[in-house]
Amino acid sequence: MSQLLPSEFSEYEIYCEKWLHPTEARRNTARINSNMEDIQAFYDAVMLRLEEMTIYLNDQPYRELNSQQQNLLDLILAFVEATSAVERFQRPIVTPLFPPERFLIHESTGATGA
Amino acid sequence: MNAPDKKSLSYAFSPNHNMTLGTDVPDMGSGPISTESVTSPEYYEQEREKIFKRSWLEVGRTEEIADEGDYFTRELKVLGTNVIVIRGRDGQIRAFHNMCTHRGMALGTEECGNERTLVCEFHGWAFGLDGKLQHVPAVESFPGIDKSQLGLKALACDTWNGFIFIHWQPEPEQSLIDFLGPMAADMDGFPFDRCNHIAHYSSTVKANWKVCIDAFQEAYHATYLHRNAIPGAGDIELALPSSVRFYGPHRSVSCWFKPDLAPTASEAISYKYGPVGFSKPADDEVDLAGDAGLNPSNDESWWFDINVFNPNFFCDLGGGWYFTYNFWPNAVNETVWNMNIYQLEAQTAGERIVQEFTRVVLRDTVYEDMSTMELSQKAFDSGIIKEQFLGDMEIAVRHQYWVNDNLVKQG
Repeated sequence: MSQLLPSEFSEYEIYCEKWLHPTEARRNTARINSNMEDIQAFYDAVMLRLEEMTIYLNDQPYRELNSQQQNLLDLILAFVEATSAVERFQRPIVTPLFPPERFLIHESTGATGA
Repeated sequence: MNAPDKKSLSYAFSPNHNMTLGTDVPDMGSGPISTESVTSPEYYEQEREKIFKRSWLEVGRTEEIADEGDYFTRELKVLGTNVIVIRGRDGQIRAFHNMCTHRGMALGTEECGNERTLVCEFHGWAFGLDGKLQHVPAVESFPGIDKSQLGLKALACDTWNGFIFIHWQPEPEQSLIDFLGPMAADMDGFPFDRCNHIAHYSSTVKANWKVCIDAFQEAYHATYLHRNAIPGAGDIELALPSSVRFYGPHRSVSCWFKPDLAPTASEAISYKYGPVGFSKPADDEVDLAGDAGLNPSNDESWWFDINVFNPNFFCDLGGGWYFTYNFWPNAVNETVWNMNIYQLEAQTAGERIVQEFTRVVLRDTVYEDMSTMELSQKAFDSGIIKEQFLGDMEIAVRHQYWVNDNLVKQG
């Protein structure tokens, strides 16, 4: 199986199927369709090496990330979604008083809008 | 609030800061606000005529239509029209009612696109990007036709710092820059042109447009509603703005930054590698955006500015980021809310990660606001709650009702 992530972080391959997405809308969908157990597991795993991952990516020229490095960055961006559920709301969704399907996250925001 | 001679107001619940009055405060009274203006269909019809058809309204950014022939359309029920905004061959941006002058068919049927000419799909009438009628198939069958009189129906259109505004009247009495006034001058210099569009959210909310706006122009609610979204925001002192300003129909509120607002565990790691974020103002050594356009009253512990251009456009500015809201009424009790977020371009992956915190925290915070408006509206529509009671921290809410009631009653 081909590697999605840089080999230094291969233990995170198991999270890619669920969490690796190129856009905010899809990362948010992954979050709100997960249970807290899965979100917490992903959160705990990334927290262990978040700083290492950030330093590793910062050592690469930002505009020349290869696909594995970009995937690692996108996985961290999905982690940011997970932090919201774990650190702020203690549930996947923000509030049951307003259903997620009524809050539209548009994807067409331009090249840097992912 | 009654403070004709004061420069600032202080309260026991806020030991660390006062609320600076950066301009004179109009005499808006201090009583409760009747809910009639958010429930009455007749009042809403007055607002459409006397406010929305007499104000400059923000509809988008120039980057959205960067090249000649680029256009976007906006369905504006409050004006009873669909508007097409298009960049001409001369580079100029124009706005037209999106209606063929032959038999009314829409010319732009997509939300955005690019056209060399605007050709009506119905019978093939063709209009230039400047709105002039260029071609009518079988023109000789229209006796006496004067193509020069059958151009697209224009709205006034002008830009400020890349924001495109339209006006219902083709030749408004007040220019855009006069309408925007000194509040816009306070914002000049902000690096709008260096920011990237990074998010667009929208929702249709069953509440009056002013009820929706109220959810975003005071910080009192943040200390309770957002106590989870922003850990530490539960401190009641955050309810008091650090300063407020009133400029004719427009208003500006600066939020106080709590110096010991602690980051979450993940933010604490990420913030080491990115200079600014929504809950991490740039410190003095890191000056990404400069301070141009920010903090007009020079508040000591400043967070961000809520700038509300009456009637329905917000442009909130922080260090290295800004976001906008547009509130488009569909009916007296229905509003389409739009939020767009913009940030300076990240230079490193670490900065990009901090920017994601800004995006997700802002998004999830405003999501909480969505939960309040419809329930308030329901209470007002029920007739049980007939008045809203406002504290001094909610002075911008009072200003909105006072301004728009005056406009409606002006005749």
